[in-house]
Amino acid sequence: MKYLFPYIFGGAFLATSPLIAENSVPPVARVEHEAEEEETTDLSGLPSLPETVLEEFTITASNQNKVRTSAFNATAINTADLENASRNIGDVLSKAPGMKVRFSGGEGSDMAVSMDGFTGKHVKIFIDGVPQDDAGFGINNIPVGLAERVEVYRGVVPVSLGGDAIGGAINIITKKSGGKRWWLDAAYSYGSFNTHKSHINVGNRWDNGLKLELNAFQNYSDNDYSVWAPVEDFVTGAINRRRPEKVRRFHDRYSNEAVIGKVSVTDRAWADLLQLSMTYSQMYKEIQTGVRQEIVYGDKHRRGQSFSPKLIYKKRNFIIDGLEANLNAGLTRNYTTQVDTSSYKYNWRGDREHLNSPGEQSYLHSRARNTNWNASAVMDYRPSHEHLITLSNLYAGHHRRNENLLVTPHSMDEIAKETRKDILGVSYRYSPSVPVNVTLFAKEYWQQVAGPQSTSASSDHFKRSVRSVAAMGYGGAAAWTLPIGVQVKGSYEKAYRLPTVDEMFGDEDLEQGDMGLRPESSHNINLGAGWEWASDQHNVRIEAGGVYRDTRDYIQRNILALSGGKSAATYVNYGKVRTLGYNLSGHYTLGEWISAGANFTHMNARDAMKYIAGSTPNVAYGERMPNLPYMFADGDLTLTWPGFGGKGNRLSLGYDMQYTKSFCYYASNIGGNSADYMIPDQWAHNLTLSYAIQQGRYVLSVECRNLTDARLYDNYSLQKPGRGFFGKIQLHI
Amino acid sequence: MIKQYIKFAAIMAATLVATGAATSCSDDLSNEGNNSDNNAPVSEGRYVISAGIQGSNGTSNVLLTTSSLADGTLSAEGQGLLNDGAYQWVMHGTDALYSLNYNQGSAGLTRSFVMNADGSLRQRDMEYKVRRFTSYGIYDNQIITTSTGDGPTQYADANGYLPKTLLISWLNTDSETVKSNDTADGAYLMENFLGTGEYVTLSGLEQVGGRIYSGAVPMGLSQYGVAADGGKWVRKGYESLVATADGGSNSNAYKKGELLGTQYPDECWVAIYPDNRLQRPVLAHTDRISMPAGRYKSQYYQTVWADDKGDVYVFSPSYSKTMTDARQQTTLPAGVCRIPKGSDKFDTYYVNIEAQTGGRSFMRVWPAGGSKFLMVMYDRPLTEKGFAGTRLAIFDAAAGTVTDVTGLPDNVSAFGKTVHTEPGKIYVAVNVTEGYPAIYAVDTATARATKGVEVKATEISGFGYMKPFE
Repeated sequence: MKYLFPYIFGGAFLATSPLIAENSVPPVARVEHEAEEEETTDLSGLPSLPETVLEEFTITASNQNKVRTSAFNATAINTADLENASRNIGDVLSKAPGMKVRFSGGEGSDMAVSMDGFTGKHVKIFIDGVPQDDAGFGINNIPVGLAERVEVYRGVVPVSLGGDAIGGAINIITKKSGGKRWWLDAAYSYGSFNTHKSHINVGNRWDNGLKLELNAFQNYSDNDYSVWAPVEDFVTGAINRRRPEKVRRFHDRYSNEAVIGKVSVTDRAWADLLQLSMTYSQMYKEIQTGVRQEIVYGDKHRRGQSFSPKLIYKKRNFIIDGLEANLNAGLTRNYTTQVDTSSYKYNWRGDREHLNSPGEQSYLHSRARNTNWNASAVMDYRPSHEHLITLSNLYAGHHRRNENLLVTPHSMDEIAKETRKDILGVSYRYSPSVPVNVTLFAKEYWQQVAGPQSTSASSDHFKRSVRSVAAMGYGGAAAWTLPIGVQVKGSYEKAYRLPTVDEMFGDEDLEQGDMGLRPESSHNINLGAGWEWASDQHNVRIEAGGVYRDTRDYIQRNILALSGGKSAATYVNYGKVRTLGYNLSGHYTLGEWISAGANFTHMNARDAMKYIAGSTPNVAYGERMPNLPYMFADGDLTLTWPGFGGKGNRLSLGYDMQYTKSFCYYASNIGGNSADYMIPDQWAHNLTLSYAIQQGRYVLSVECRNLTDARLYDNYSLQKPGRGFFGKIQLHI
Repeated sequence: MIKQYIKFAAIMAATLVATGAATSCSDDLSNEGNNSDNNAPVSEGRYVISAGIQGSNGTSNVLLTTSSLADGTLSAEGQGLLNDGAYQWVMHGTDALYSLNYNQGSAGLTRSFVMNADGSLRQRDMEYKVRRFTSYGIYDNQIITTSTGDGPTQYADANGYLPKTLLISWLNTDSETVKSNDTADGAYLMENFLGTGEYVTLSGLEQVGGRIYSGAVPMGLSQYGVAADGGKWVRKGYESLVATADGGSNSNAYKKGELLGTQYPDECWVAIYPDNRLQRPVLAHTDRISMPAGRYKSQYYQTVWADDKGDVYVFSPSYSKTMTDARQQTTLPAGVCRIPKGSDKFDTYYVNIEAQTGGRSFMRVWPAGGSKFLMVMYDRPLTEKGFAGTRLAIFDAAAGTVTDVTGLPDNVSAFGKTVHTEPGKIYVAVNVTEGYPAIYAVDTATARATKGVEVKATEISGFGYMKPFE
């Protein structure tokens, strides 16, 4: 089979790939990542007009099932459950086992996803398979209505999602128009804290296969919710931490708008799909607090704009029978402007006073000019039903330069920061019979970063320098459905994350980077079992999963940096973490009337570094990882009254909750007062009442979030919104 | 005969004084040597040590207490006061320990800690948002922080360039308040501070009597300074030093149109302020040494210190030898000059440090009691690559000698940022590449270091001696 690939790709491409050239790896291939199929097959699409809602439900469910029955530790979350609520994708993610999403505040606030104890850079986010590095919009602002489902891959990631992530990957699948001739989806919601959200999706498909589609969405909120915070007294200059006051946030407005236009040609001899899309988005965000709630700003803000064209090409039986090509190319230009030019300081009461030097945090008015580009190819070859070979390659680049807007004329950084990466993956899937499938895969990572580096101890001179790093990962997955209806599965990956530009170059001053930084790596093992039972009315599904993560070479800042003894390498490979965790999920439905589900996750992530620097025992050895939620749960219950107020109408009452057990901001064995740094137990309860008319053509809903008005914190000291009410109207035509 | 008698009496008196001093020395081991109440019993106070513990993917900071620095091992497991750490720990007398932080990076808030009657520590209720600072000093009941930053926007020139100005915070340790200076007052402008057009950064704030002595470190010409007066402050033949694009980052960030680093590397200036308002200084000048600040990259350390008599010693490590451009490199060796007590001028005192150390310079210096000073020495000359401040020396200002400290471990990674002195001794935290950090006592007479208390941590970031508050 291998000689087929050169024919397709051209020899030059393959010669650069050690995997193929050395031929040392088992042939490849592909995961149960069936998402790509949707565009080309009407399977996934929505049927034509009237029966919309029900059909949509079944189809989506079947895609969900594909992900669920795959050998990977993957979950597909159907967004339909939350569509009636006025939420974003981040809220949807919280419904996946092992996932915890932490918000620093209200609408549009910073969001951190944690997956099996991994956070931030360790988890990669994709939209329709395209990596979202530094993009203008992300999971904290994409409306639920725009996504069809969200796939979560924990620890073991299919090669078709090209990225370096040791924790896992999240892939947001946007809604596809399917088989409809024309369609219109629209929603608007309004609620507490002057929050407005809307989206519209309109399109038409012609007989000749041409399709036009327009998506637009908008989020706006004043986020003027109340918090308890100690207030700075301008007379004494002091903040009394023992005397918090109930104050209203006054500088936290957030808005973003996006328009996505798509032109597609489908079902031609030369293409199943050729699509050109253009996305424009912009955002404005006021910054109310620093990393602690005591620090308050009144003028600092940022805004951004992105423009992003994208091309997709898909073809089955591409040149030879059984070969399917998925090609993507995209470019994003993004400008993010940071503004901190105020000559005033503020306190939580909103009082202000002159500053002796402009800038609430640090005098700044600068625009980061980012360019991201990527091209990917995923080739699936099915010589017969049992075999699937996938070859995937992603090439991505990032370029950033800062422009100083404080002065006229504006000045620019002399040396840009650049990243280029290439991730090549091969995988082979063997499914001799329906209940059994086995996948083996390997990935080759390569990355090159370039940036300024100081050439003297005085840091008075910089030159552009370039560094490269490479790594090879591998893994496999297997699933077997027993005759009794229980599916068991296991998967493993040796996963890598490559050091970023900042880690390789430090901050060009005291935090010097290290050319010798190794990639972070992790052995990820998942085991799972699921059982499903269905009768006429009842459907029960129970799943249990266990994860093991052995992570090494965490890249982190060396705290001795500022003492001056070290002249280099203040980012170091330091630390080992061992994670053992499990999650339990259950779901029950009774016909159309009752739907109930729950997830429980316990992640025991411990410091596994026995010795620091040779033979010195690590004081934090065996301790829980600081500032990481480790036990959490969510649950939901929906009661539906079909036919209420007329045939084809439905009334639903939904309840959902989230629980997080308290956790410590620092290593909890250090000091006698770690209780001072605890993030307390959190319970959040939400209620949604919705009424769908004419098979869901029109849906009206009202929602109460944080029903008990609890003081919620996902992060130490940063309070989230209290009780809020929201109303929403939707059209699906 | 009478002469003989007087001689004998003098010898007896000297012996008595000497033995008396020695006795009080051993009695007072655990007391704050710098303080007036040298007779206080040990039980009244305790030593406080701030330690940082780096685990996998996270660092915790904790304050520990001990009755003796001489020996033992301290552990932070389940004990001590967990806290957010500090950019710089500062002891105010024996009353309060301040964690100076400015609002950048993670913690952001400045806090203070006092000792309870039972010897445990507590954080006081007041917290402060302090602006970025590069120097600090203690003046009576104040901790003063300073930096040179952008002036008010009303002073912007046609390009939008702001003149550099002195930014001050006065933390009052009694009233627990903080105040900032009014930069609309032109007295705080730092542009053309020395008459060369260049702006300066203050390095160290040393109180002597009512005055404050501070190293005035010329930083080059700001964008405002380059553009000012038709560009006359750029020296002839130095035009190529003006940056043509933005670069660097953080403290070393430079902007287009800025001349980074001084054009006068062979001069030393000290600003002598009449009081803590830090206005209208008298400038003392010498061209025997270079700039008066210890440096490590963008960090500046105080090198203007008074000895016990009130004479002010001014040290220069000649760090500008590391500048890339020959025009900005000093030709002067690292050395020490002096401003005698009460004077506004340097006297003829001069010691060439490098002549005694094989060309090695120093990173930091602290007074060690009497006219002795402790120096953190670089391990090789600044003209060589990869130098690190991993050695110590005792400088005897009276004799003009530099003596290497012996008894240190051979795997020093860095020394702590604070010291503590007691008669005849100076304590310093020693962080090592392998093993736990420890506090060492350096005998200032013999320059011999002895290992004291070890802390099960990654680094010791500060320590001092405290007594119960109120």
